[in-house]
Amino acid sequence: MNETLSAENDVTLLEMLDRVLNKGVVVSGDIVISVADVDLIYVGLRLLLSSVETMQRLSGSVATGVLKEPAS
Amino acid sequence: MTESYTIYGIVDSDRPAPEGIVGLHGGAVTNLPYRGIGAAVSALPGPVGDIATGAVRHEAVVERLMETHTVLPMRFPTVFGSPDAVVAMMARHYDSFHKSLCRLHGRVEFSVKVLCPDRSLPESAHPCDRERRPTSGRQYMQERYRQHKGRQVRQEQAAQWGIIFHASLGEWVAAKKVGTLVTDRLAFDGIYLVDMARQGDFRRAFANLVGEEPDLQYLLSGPWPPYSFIEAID
Repeated sequence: MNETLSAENDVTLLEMLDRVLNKGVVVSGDIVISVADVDLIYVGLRLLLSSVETMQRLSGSVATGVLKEPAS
Repeated sequence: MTESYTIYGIVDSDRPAPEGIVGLHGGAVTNLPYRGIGAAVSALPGPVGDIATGAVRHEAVVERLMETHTVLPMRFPTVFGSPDAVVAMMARHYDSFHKSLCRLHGRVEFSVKVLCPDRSLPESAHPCDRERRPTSGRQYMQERYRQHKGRQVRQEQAAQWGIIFHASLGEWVAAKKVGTLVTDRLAFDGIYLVDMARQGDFRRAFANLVGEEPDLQYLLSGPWPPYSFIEAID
């Protein structure tokens, strides 16, 4: 797996975490467990995008691609 | 710790969940029914544990449920102390859940990110760069103005790309949430709600877009459960 593909997989993972931890139905009242540091995921996504940018700058390549194949 | 229940999502059925769906810590996913809808849950024998591992399992369960149901994915972790508490929560929010299930039936979301090339960014002096560091207030203000103008130009350019993307993708989209120039290089960040039956058309339209501006990098991910199109419940 080349670096670009590896980074794109990381983006996909972070996009997934961003959704699962920051979006979706939020209900309150009977919840007994919560996570206080979910904002870190946003930071992580920003950092990851920055690292993708840096990598491309270094390699001088412009990549395009589909990050996640459709569920079959 | 006593047993608790983690919820994966609200589904459009009060029938038993498909067999064999494994949730957090190996717990079997079951459906708690309420007036024609249900909450997909599994028992938790202890703490949620590692958040990233749990989040991946949560997403896997939601995607598995989506094969047979419309699902309102819950934010992870959402944990209740008893099945009765889950059913009481569904009773409180029944109207919102029902409305959202109808709106999101047969739909998924895609993420489109567009990165602009380095050379579209204005050069700025690094604080450690002694030769280029402003030596006067006037020079400092000129630099700040140059950066402001550069950002303004990029903002206009990003807005223009947004118009082009919508013209190309809009035909296949039920709803969208877009942001432009989210960071200096993340020129466009769009989330699109797409009918499952039209996701092939959406992908083709996206693929056609990729060649339009060869300098831009286009990133597509999806289909995802429609996490981003859940309206606030409380």
